[in-house]
Amino acid sequence: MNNSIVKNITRFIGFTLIQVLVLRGINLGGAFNYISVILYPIVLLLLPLRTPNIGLLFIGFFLGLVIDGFYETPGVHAATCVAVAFIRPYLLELLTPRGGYNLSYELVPAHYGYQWFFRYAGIFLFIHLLIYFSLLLFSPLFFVQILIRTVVSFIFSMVFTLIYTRLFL
Amino acid sequence: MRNLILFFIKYGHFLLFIGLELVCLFLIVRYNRTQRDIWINSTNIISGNASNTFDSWTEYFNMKEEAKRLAGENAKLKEQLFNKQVSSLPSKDTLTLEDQQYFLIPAKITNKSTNHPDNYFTLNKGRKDGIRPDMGVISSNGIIGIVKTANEDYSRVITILHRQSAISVSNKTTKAYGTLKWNQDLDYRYTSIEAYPKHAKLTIGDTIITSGYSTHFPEGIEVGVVEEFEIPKSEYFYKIKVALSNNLNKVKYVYVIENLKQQQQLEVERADE
Repeated sequence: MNNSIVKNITRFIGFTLIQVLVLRGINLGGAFNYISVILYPIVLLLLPLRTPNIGLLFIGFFLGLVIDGFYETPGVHAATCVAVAFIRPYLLELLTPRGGYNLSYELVPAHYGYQWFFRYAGIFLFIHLLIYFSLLLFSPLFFVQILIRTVVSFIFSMVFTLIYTRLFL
Repeated sequence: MRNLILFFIKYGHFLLFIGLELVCLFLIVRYNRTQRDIWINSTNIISGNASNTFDSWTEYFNMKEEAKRLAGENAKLKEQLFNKQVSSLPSKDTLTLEDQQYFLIPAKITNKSTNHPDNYFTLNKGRKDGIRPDMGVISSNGIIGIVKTANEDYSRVITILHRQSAISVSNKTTKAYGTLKWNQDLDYRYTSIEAYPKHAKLTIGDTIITSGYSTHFPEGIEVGVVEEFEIPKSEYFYKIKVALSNNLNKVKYVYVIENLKQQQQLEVERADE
């Protein structure tokens, strides 16, 4: 139990640092300007199953505010994280594996398989990016741009998620 | 109380979600330049539409007030028109108070009859508002009658649909004049003219206006048009049926004409007798 808390706090700090120090700086310019690699939602993604809903919302809110502090977009990441934190329990219910969840297991490929994990992470990240860019551009007038940026960023973010999963999970 | 706690257990995280999102939205709109501009623009469009709709509703509810205001304004305009006629200096464009002979008081009919041999209207203004007996009463379409009595708040009008009513009218084109008399047909759309001389020309459709030969009405207020007439063999006058321009059954708002020089005129006329 304690092990799990330490792990999650470490992940929180680690991903925040990677996101704001490394990934934020990625700017390929030109046509690739649309790309922003967003990896920190993995913190919310991997929170233990037994985390209460209210706790999820508060953790999401806090994580978002910290990221916003560095991105200089007060509220945008926070609103996105709160939204996905709210959606997470319903998403997990939707993706219940055949044998059901084991409350003491972490939500990692080792327990539920790569296929399940990438479906879960994919949907989670896509929703996150879609909300994020919607709030960033903030108008239905930019619908096409929101969609393009979401898809492009989703592909790159998923690649990074894959790398992370292969290396550490 | 128990239900309330259960409610919060069940929907607490949803309420928290809404609350946190509202905080975030506030932060976004408050501290992000582009989002704030978009927000302000969009809300302006929405609130503009909303206030337009709201305005059209309140407009409807303010109609009564508006009607009152317009009646007052109309009274002012009619005053100017009548006073222009009596103004001795034709070159003068504006009227000073000394020129002003006629004042108009807008009023509303609170009680009326049109289907008796003698018809009266009751107005919602009285002595307090400056209404005195013998003042003329008109509406925007034509004449109504003459004030008979007035107390503090109300006044009673002898309409042109009354046996005692006799108003001097003239033909707009020939200027020949007669007296408007209620023919007691009990049809409020028509009345008749008596004492219109036989030698004067008359055609059906001629416009009848007030002659101005009385202290009640200024000259030129529309009364109606000649509907039909006959020339009785043994009499000196036409028998004329007039279609009134004013629908007395429908009329609701009227103006009472105050003639400032009425007393002077009557004085000089009486002195002669």
